[in-house]
Amino acid sequence: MRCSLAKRRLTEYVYGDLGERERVGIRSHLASCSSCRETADEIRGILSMASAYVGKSPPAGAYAGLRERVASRPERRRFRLFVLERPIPAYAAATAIAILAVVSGISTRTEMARLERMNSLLSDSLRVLNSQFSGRSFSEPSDSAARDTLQPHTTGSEAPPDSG
Amino acid sequence: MSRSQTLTLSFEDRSQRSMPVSDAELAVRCRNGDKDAFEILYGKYSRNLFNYIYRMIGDYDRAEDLYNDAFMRVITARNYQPRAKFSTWVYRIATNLCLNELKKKKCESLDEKLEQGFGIPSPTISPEDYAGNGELTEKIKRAIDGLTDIQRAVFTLRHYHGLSYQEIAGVLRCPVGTVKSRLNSAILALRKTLREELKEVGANEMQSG
Repeated sequence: MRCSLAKRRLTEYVYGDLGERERVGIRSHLASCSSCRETADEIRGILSMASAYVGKSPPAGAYAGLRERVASRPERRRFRLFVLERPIPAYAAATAIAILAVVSGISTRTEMARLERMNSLLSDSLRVLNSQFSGRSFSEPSDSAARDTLQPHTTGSEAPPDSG
Repeated sequence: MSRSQTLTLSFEDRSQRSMPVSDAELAVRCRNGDKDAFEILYGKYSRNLFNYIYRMIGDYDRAEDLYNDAFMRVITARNYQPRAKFSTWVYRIATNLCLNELKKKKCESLDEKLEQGFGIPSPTISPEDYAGNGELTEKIKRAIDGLTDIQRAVFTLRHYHGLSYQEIAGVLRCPVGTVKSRLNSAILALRKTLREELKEVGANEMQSG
């Protein structure tokens, strides 16, 4: 083990916070490294010195003062709505239902708009086919490439381009 | 029969049956006016809480005020999450109060320095304080006071309150690795400050041994 690594773990080693494997590693390193051994001793010394700094008791009147403060604490009146008293799962369920409703509403609208578009397209196509079958509003195409072209918006009153 | 009496009786009933009552439950009972619950919580946390705040702040009178505030917050706060240990939550409340206080204090002292000029020593420690063991204790106290706020919190929680790294990480809301490195740097700073004292103590021990 290198000194830099060992020195980083010395505090934990002195506190006894290391696992067995690491503890053995540090101990064998300390056996061979006087510098790290010295640092470990210094840390031990610091910690034992720090333990000499004993704490203080709370002031004598603290207990009575606190007890009085707790006793004289004004009762908090609850001006909450009934809804706010519900537990969190109820809120979660309500939110989920609301989201589902909104999403399904949006998708239904979209679906309806799509159906309307399809419907109008279909009716246009049917009208064109119908007029083609009756042969009233369509002219004979001049060339073979234009033969298959549909002209859905032409009416019966319009004259074909080369009808003569 | 009033509500608090009912709670007290039910609490006594549970105590008689030796059913464990959690600290969080005690805090709720305390909030509802249960004196027994208050006494149990006070007995359990008062000394540790006061010592922690005192070591963080370094001023007995100010520590008393903050201790009262912290204890009241423990009793009145409703945001305790059972995921963390109750004691961790108590230390977190105290830590937040202390860090806020220290920040405020630093701002005030900076303002004072700006008014009075830098480099004026504050005569807070009289020569009489340097006598016997009190001298060493005072040096240790000053060395601990000289740590950064976070280093002091980590060192105090680990050394004086015996919290694990995991618990300290919970109090300070930081990763365990950060706690370890802060503890290391705190010890390094203490070594630098107390090196002379350490030599003296070592020499005295050698002489007496």
